[in-house]
Amino acid sequence: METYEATILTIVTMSSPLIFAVIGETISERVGIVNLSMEGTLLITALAGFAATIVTNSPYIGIICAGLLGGGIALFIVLINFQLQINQIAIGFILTILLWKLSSYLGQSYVRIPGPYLDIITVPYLSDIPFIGPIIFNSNILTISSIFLIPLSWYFLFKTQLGINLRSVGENPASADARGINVMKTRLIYAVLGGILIGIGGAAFSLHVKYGWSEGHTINYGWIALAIVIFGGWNPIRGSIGVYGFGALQVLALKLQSVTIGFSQILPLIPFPLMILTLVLIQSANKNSGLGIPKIIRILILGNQPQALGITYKKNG
Amino acid sequence: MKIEFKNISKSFQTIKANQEINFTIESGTIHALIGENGAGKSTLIKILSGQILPDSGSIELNESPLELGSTHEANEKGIGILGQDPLDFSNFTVLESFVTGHPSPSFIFSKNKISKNINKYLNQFDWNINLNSLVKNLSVGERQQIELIRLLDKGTKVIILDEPTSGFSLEQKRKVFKTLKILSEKGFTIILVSHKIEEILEICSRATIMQQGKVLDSIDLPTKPQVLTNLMFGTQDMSPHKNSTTNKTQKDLKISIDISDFSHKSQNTISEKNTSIEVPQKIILGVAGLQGSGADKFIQNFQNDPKKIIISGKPYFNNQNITYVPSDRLERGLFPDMTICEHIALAYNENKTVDWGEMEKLSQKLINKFGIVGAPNSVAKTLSGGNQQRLMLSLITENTELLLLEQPTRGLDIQSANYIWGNLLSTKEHKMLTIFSSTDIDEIYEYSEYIICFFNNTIVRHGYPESLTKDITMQKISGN
Amino acid sequence: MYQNIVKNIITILISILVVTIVLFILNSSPLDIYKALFDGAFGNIDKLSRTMLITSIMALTGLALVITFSTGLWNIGIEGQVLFGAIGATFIARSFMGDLTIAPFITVLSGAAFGGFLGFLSAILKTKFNVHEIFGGLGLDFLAAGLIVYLVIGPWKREGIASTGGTDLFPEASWMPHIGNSNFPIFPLLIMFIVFILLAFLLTKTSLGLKLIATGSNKNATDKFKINSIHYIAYAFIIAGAVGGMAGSIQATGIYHKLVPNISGGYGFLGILIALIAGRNLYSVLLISFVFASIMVGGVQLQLRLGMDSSFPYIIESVFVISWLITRASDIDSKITKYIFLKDK
Repeated sequence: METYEATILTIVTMSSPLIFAVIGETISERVGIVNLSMEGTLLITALAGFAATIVTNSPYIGIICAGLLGGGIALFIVLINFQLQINQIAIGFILTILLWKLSSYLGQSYVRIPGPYLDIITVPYLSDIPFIGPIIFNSNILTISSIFLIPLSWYFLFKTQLGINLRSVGENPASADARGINVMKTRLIYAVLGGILIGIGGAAFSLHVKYGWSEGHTINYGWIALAIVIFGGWNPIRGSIGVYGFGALQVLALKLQSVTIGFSQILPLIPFPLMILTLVLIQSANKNSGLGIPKIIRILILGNQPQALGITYKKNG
Repeated sequence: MKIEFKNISKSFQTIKANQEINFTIESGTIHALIGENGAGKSTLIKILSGQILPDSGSIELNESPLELGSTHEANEKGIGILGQDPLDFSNFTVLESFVTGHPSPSFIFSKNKISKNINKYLNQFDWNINLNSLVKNLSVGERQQIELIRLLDKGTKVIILDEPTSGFSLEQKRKVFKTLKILSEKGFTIILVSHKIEEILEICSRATIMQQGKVLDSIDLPTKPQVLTNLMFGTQDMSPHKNSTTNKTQKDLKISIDISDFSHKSQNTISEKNTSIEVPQKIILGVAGLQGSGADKFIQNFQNDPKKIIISGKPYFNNQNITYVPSDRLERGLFPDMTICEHIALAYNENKTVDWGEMEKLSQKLINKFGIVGAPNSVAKTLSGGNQQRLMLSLITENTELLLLEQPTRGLDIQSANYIWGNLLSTKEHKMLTIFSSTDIDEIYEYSEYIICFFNNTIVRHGYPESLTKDITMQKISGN
Repeated sequence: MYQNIVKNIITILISILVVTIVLFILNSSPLDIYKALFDGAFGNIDKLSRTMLITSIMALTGLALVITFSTGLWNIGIEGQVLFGAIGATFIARSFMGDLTIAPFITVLSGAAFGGFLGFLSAILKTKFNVHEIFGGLGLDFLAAGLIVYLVIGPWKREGIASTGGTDLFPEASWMPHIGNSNFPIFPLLIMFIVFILLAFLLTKTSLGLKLIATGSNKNATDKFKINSIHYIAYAFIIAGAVGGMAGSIQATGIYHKLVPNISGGYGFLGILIALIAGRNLYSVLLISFVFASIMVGGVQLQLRLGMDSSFPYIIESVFVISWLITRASDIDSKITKYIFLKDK
């Protein structure tokens, strides 16, 4: 393979965990639930995926376990928020620390142990596409499905009735309720779905991108995913662009590693200033026909926060 | 669809919102439901739409009972409400907002089919809305138009319109009314909840008047406007107003209130000074108007921009000598989790540090003075409405020269209301000007020394009580 | 009055019970763990000193967060504020002032200034640009972390070695001063107490404090009382940032004696856990910080004696906080308290 193709493959592969995580959280936030535990969830699901794979000798079961665990954590957050009215952010934050440290502890016996790999799958027809075909569609199941997930989730959110209904819950729960949509049920289902996707993202990490387990294996990826969800304007396609952009930066950092140490340390920190900048721009663009920002850029960056994000909803009466 | 209300009753704690409501709405009619604020109209229609479960009674649709307390059921039976808040989704496009929660959801929603549908209605009603624009960019009237179409498209047979036209322009209103007439001829049942006598007389064939939770009467329309207003406001004491300010009017220094920000109907052809109202000092100015008429906004306006009130040619009021008392006590007037003593400290303490000993003494003094049932360490949200209002009164500092009160006795029992007015009257001489808004005509006439009438965000009349009778005021605030 | 104390005790007991159960599931000898923790935290004077040092740091972040929670906002940027404080202290230590006898005082003040500045940035992002304080805070955390890495491998790097191991050691004059030969952290504890007293005074006896609390209680009513909520939010974040910055300076001059990446040790985030339990009660912050610090320091013993992972202290603390919150929210503690008091009658 030429370097060019190898680079693309690397980027797409390395980005697959974040694609799952970002799209999962995008769906969750679209329905109004913030899963601040992402950092901890990614760690523990990465561990769970790997451990299950070792134990059952099947990476597929590993993926399923990771997904279920991710969903379970989201379920916990949602139930605590609904039943006890505890702030989503508080519980999410505490879980971050708990799950992170739990993964350190429980993962001790799995550090640097080899295990079964995911098979390479060749997708018919698509792998014949010139240039990218043989690279991307000739990979493992997670990388391939991450690519399909992008247009699928976009279509689901924006072109289907279910997608509109779920988005309406995140925009204005009271109105959604008046239309006959079961707000609680909808929030529960999609928050858990988001959690499952995040869990799969964790598995994608430990089963392929950075094979195995180590202390702090997926470090910072949870925070980065949260940032990219916002940067992506709660839109799977824009979020994915952010993820691939970040992936490209990572690859760049690897190549430059010999030249500048420390760039790899600074790299994970870049999404945040970008995200803040985006939010600032969005705010100004919304306020006064935008600080002289050209219309094209405004269309690109405009993305409204789901109005009811993070707000605990209580049905009246 | 014929609707029969049978002995519907509903109480909220001590308030009897609906008491044995009994009346019938015939199929294919436009029926008006009218009454003052607090009469119980809102509760009744929420019961009909399934949002509230009544304590007792039943509703029959075409002779068969309606399951109460379920919005789902009401939806199924074809009942829909269009209110002032169209309950839509501001960040969605019109099309997306329309389609949300659609009763027969296809997995993939086809824009074209639905757009065609909506456009069919838009053409029929001669309305013009771009389906791809964001809901938040539409005017309230346009949002209500879409919501109306949505209800029709859904097959709603009973359309309840809750004060719907405040967001419409004259033109839009005309079109809506034309539509409503057509619909009723087709057999739809329409219930119009409104204050606006003019509109009611224009399209309704029958009206039910409610007062204090009971049905006063149901009459056929059209009739004389007078008849309706009399029924709406009950039999009023039409005797001339007691407090006379004639001895004040001529000599005292005047206060000039700039009203150029508000649209107003000129009252006489001669007047050049239409942009301001002149009143004597130290009076109580009553702003009369029904809910949403702009009376409250008028008061808020002076909190934001006190320079609009001029005495002896100069703005007199500033941040320091104004006290504003909003109508929603816990939302905008008080700190729910903080104690009475802490509120007193916030209002009265001028220093950088707080001497709690002093504050507690002051709190106790004020508690006694205003008859607040509570202790200095009582938390605001645990106080009853009446006591919360008394607390707000106690926070009016002595150097207040302009007192702005929004609906000062809303939701209070007679005793508290009287107490509050006793206090306000006894201190009115210490203030340059007291302005209060109220939806209660009696209250306006009991205490005002000058009256401004609001309707539809416009000052429709103003004057001294001697020249502005209760009768006229009632007509004016209803839009005649 | 007594009812309240009993209620608190019950909540604590329930939470300890849950923690014990979790420890049992994970390791099957909670008693050994508790013993090791106790020993590790209080076993000898050195360990006790260490515990008190960490107490002072955690208490500072906890106190800072109580201030921002008063206004109803999440100051996740606390980590960054601590880091920035460390940068501020380093800046002084590396300058000519680092050799003066009063250097420790200046480093603390510098830490406060730098931390306060970052707090101010958080406030601006929130009030002027409507960036949710969480994302703004996280962003600034990462920014601060990045800045430290840059400084350590760049302008402040050690002679000839550009590594992420840290800067050169500070001149001894700027280290946290000791009393004689002992390690006992008099200076940091002093700072903690002074800050505690000042903040307690602020919240309970000043107009500023009262208005902060009002802003958190009901932002919509602040206009009527002539409180400019934007100003007060800014004050809260600046104060919190300054206090957090002091914690960072103590880390720099009292523990590491140089600037290293991740110098905050996560104490900013742990401070959030503390503030979630303490609510508005500053005394509780001191108490809980002491307990948490003992767990953290004692946790080292867990590694040595029982060969256990360093993550246990964090697991214990986070499980404790979750149990506490759930117990409180579900009112189990109130119900049990009422039952006890009813029985006595």
